[in-house]
Amino acid sequence: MRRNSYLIPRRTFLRGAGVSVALPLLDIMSPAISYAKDKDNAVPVRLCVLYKGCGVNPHARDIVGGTEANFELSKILQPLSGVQDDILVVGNLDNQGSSDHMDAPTTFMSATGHKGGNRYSFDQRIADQVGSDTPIKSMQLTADNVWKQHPWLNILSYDKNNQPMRGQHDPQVAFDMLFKDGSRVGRQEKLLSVLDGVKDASSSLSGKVSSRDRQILEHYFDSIRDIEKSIQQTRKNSREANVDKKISNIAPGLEVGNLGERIKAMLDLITLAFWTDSTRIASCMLANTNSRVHYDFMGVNAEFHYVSHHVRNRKVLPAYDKINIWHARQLRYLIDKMKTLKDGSGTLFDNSLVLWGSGIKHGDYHSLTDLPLVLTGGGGGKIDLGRHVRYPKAQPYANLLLTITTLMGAETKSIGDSTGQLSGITEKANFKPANPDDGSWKIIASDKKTFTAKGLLRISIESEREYYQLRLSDKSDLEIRIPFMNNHKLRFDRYVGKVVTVTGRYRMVKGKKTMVVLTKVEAN
Amino acid sequence: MFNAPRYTAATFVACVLAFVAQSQPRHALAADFAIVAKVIDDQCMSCHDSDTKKGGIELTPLLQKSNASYGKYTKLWIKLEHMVARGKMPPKDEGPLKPADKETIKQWFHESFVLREGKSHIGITPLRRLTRYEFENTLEDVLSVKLKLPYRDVIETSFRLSTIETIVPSDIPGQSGFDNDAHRMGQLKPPLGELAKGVSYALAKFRKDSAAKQAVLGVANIPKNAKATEIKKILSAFLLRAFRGNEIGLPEHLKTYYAQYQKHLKDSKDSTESLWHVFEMILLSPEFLYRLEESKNLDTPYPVTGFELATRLSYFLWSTAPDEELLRLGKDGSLLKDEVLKAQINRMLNSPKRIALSENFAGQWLGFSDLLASSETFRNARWNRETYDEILFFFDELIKSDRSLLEMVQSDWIYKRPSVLRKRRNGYVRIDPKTRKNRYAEVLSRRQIENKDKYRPPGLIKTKSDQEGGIITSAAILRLTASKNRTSPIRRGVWVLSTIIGRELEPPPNVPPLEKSREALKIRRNPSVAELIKQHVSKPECISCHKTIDPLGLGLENFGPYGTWRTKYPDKTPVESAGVMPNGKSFKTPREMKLLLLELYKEEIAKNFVEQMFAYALGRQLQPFDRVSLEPMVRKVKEDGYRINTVIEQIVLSMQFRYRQELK
Repeated sequence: MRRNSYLIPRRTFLRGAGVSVALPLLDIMSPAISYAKDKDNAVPVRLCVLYKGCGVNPHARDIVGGTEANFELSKILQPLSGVQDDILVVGNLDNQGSSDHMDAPTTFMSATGHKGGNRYSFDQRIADQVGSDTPIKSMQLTADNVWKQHPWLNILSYDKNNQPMRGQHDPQVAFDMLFKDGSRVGRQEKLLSVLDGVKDASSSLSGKVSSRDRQILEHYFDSIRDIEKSIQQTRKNSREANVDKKISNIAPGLEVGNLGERIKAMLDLITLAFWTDSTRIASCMLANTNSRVHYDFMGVNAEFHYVSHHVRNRKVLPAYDKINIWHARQLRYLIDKMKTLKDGSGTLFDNSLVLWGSGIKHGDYHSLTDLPLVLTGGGGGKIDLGRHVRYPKAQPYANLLLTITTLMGAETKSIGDSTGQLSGITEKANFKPANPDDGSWKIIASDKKTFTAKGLLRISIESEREYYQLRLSDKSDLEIRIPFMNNHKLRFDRYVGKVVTVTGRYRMVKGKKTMVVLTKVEAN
Repeated sequence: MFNAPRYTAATFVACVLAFVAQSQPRHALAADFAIVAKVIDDQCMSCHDSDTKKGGIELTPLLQKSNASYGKYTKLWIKLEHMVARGKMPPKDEGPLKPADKETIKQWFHESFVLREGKSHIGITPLRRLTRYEFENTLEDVLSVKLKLPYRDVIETSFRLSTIETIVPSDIPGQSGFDNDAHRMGQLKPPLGELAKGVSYALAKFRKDSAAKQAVLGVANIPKNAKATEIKKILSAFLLRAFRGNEIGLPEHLKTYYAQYQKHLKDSKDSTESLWHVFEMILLSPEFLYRLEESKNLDTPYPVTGFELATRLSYFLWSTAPDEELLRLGKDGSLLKDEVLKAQINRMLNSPKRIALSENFAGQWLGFSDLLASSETFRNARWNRETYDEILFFFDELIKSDRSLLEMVQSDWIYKRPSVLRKRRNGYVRIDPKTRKNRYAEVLSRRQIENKDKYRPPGLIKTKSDQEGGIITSAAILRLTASKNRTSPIRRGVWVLSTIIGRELEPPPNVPPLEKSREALKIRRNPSVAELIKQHVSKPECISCHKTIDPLGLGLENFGPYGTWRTKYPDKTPVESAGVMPNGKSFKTPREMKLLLLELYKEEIAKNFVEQMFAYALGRQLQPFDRVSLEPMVRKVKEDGYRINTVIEQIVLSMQFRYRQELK
């Protein structure tokens, strides 16, 4: 059977080594495969939405201090050091709606709060307008496991009729859909002909069934129309013959073992799909909102969702941060891959727009405020990268979706609760820094047991155990290592990112004053 | 045209009596809505108005007459009636409702939600489309080919899906909890592109199989330049087969598809190719993909035809098209007679095809189909399949031997996997060892077996300790309700309470951090799981659910994540698995816990089982108007010793199963 060609050699599998599933085509340093130019003869921009459920530990994710162009990456974003000039980290965007496990993905994609049952996702809004110039209108993938009992968890995109668009979980099937289906022209002709006949034959059906049943059957006929439209689109936008030839010679070993392999295979697929201009809009769910995947393949003995509820159970915090750091590394993988491919006069990276984010901020509280988002990709040269923008006043997340939609060449008056385009994406925001250092950050008073100091409160990024740091004007950090209940009673973690004056007892650790009991904290 | 249905007077009366008995003439409406609204206003609004919303419940919308029927607030009404009827509301410290007020609400609810205009009814009968599982089975039976994965194959390699399962997306479960929920399926577009690929694949297999072609078409090969009469004969045979024996409208269908054949033939000039082309059309038509039933557009229940009943029965018990015998009895009307229907149920439950109930119904309800459905390896391929088999065979045995459904909780027999039984001196006593080969041949009859001698089925054994018996303590369920490296008494407790006992649970608001709990308990640094969980009894908003959840989960703490017995946790602290049930009785072993479970919750467990299977059989969520049938059904099941075959029979004999209705 055909399937046998995809089986990975047994030995590799038994070795348990991560099997490389990079598609051969990507390794070919051949001249760029020509892309289909869009109407204005410009290189089209591609949109990739990467959704990572289960939120973050805000302290490990938020960037504190620094300026718009000069900032330190937070603990979770560390894997992106080296490409810091290629990302745009945005903060203080709030979403509306339900953040529970079933709804969070669509809340992220639609920003409508599902008012009136509206789940029309923004990628489909774009696809409906600009998606007809490629063989495939848009592609949906889901890397995390599909829960049979709750498939909703894995669905990101909904079309304009609020019909769910299931993500493909099997990279092989996705590959076939992208590349093999279109080239089987004969097969498509046949299908069209079959469907034609079916429509003909079913025309006399409606009389015999109840009016209620007739409504249900309407979906059946809608489905036929959908297929006809998509085949026509594929035909109209067929790839160049030599590209198809190259692809038809590939039999990629796309049998993946663990989540890590699957994600890489899917990121490869998206890259390849964009590069061959097979589609310009892709979304992938990297981790769903109730992820029961066990991350032991990367050395963490835990389920993602379980460790995301880290306030109830502090012990899991190191594992939670580790998993989120791993996910940031996957984004890095995509960025690196895209930068190696020539596209037009630049690289695929230059001509893509990638939105990487989570539907909720705080993994335990499922908060929808200040979503953790990173934009990357040049967006066709329109995105000003290498910055950290934190909006001084919270903005609707829907404004970001509206901005992206416009950048992708689709027109829409509004999305969800959007109030307009977001500034600071295509140009510098030039906001006043939130916590400017006025030189007064230092130890104000001190005796043998206690001290009082003022500074910018941050969280450590060096070790597994969290501890706090007070950044002083001389760029040094005072360490604050206090017991959990001490922290909890004074709600200390709320002050991270703010300028505070702290008072407490200290001990000398390695020649430095380290606060061990906090008695008072005040925001300045 | 087949014979008009005939009922004997006795069966008609027996069948409908329970139903009609609930009806009341309109003018005797015992409660006016205005009175009900007043009761709610007086007794409930102080806590449940828009300002207070105690427990998150706001009852203001229910005071409006316009919301006093099926619609936006149905769920809220059901909840209100449930709480009032059980005496759960008003809360104890508020004092109970006056008996007259309680009656008013109950009576009014009965007349507004259970009955309609004084009469019992069965709601809208939704159009049902074949689920992926049914689609694969039906193609196999219609085309007489094998599409499912060879059983042995799945154990050897890492997890794989059959071609149909890979191509066609799984169906999304609906409100009923099952993926054959017709209301859910009716809202979504069928994945026709993928179904077309599946049909193509199946037809390709059919085409290569001479025996199959002979069986289905009457000829082993289609002649190249066949004459019109030959083609029409073959086409007719295929249509009858594809439409699952439905003869209604067959002449018209033949005309239509023959015309399609001729249209294609003009270009292809190849009668074989054109015929296959038309075959593909037929298998993608609504008549194949949907279970169409003739509608009279009535808003009161009317019986379905014998043929339709045969189809319903076949999909309920076998998840596939009816066989010859069932079709014959359906079409000539015999199936509409109780005795014939009962005899057929019996025959069908004795057929290996009954495995669909264990694979599809139980697999979804109890969740063990996840062991094979998810690429997340629960342990490894072999362990996953072995533990899956343990439950599959167990459930199948319950049906085959007509055991009591309560044995799901505790039984003195189980199926044990070969890796345990293989060990010398394992101490297990086999039951009926000679029938082992037949038993597994039956269970696996729908699967191709690559190497019959290599497959090792689980063995039917007598339980030998307090640790075993029933499904709850099976390795599969214990692993499904835990995670790889730790157990969660709450997850397990919730599973037993909601899946087996059938309670509806809502997630708790405002769970405080664990450390705070530790502080509050003033316990030593590493509290035991049991001590931690004691926190749940400290707050009233936690106790209400946790006094029932916790004992169940704690009682299972001796079972590690893979179901192995342990007396110590990995950190060497001892496992404390004793608990106290809500009625104050305590237990020390899993067996004691399970027996107490049965003592406390027997009625609910039985009712839940019946409801789950009923929802699966009907392909929709149950509604208050189904209570009229449900209550006598559950009573009969109890009288019959909770036997599963009685459950099945009662479901098939119900009005919901044998009638249909369109609601105006």
